[in-house]
Amino acid sequence: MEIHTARFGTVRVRPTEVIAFPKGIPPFTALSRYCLIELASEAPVQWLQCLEEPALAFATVNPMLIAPDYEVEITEADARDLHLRGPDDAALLVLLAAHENPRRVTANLRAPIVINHVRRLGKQVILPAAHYSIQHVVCSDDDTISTSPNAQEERSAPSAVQARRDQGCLSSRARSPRAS
Amino acid sequence: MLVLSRKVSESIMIGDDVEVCIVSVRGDQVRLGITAPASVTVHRKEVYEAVRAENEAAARSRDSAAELMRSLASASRSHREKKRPTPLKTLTNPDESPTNRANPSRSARRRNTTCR
Repeated sequence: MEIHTARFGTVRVRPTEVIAFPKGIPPFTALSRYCLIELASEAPVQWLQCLEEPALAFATVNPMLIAPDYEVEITEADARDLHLRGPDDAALLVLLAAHENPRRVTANLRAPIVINHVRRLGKQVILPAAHYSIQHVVCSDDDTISTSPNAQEERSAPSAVQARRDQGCLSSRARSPRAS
Repeated sequence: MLVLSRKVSESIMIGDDVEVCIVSVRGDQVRLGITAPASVTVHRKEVYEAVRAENEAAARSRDSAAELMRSLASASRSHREKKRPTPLKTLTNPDESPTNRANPSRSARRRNTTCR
């Protein structure tokens, strides 16, 4: 199917690339179908594009790139919602946000997006312990924020991609309770 | 909304599995003890509201984020070189997780939450 998006124009999405978020992503709880879009020029960012609202797209990234020791313990309730059979079914992404004053990019490590890439189900889970920050600073004015000269190349031909295990968005570090 | 009066050490039951006990009252601060199955998540409401607000900020970042995103790889790389985060906990086996060690995962666990 072809979907219209505000950021990427018209994108072709295969039915197998659709990720259902039955509970939405708060406060956008009425919107439940997304896909992942990756642009070579914006790697390693993967865009979580809503299929029902062209203007709604979240920049996400594999949390391992930000916090190499990132670990998530998925509760039984979340594992049930996601139909997870085990850690290998789960992919992790975290949402990025750009803030002004001070200028910084933050990642929400406290509430990652968990995707069951087998069943194509997604949910934003809130981790029980306050180990991780909702606004984990990725880069700020203290760091050098430079604009790449290659910024405009490879802007064409976006395509929806799956959350791939070989990208490390899944990993053995995503834990779900064992079936009991 | 149901409004109940309780004294210190008294409880209410929510369904069959969730018990909320008044642990102490000091001025305008009430300390609650919550006993619930591990499958029930308990968070302060502020956490939910903060996640909602951050999601809205993330959605607004759709256009302004692009330039910053391009510096993500180098920024995060230099960030890691400067200060490599130390592991907060290492889970090598599900049985070694703090929750499971303290209680079997299916049993109730107790959490104390302070609400102002």
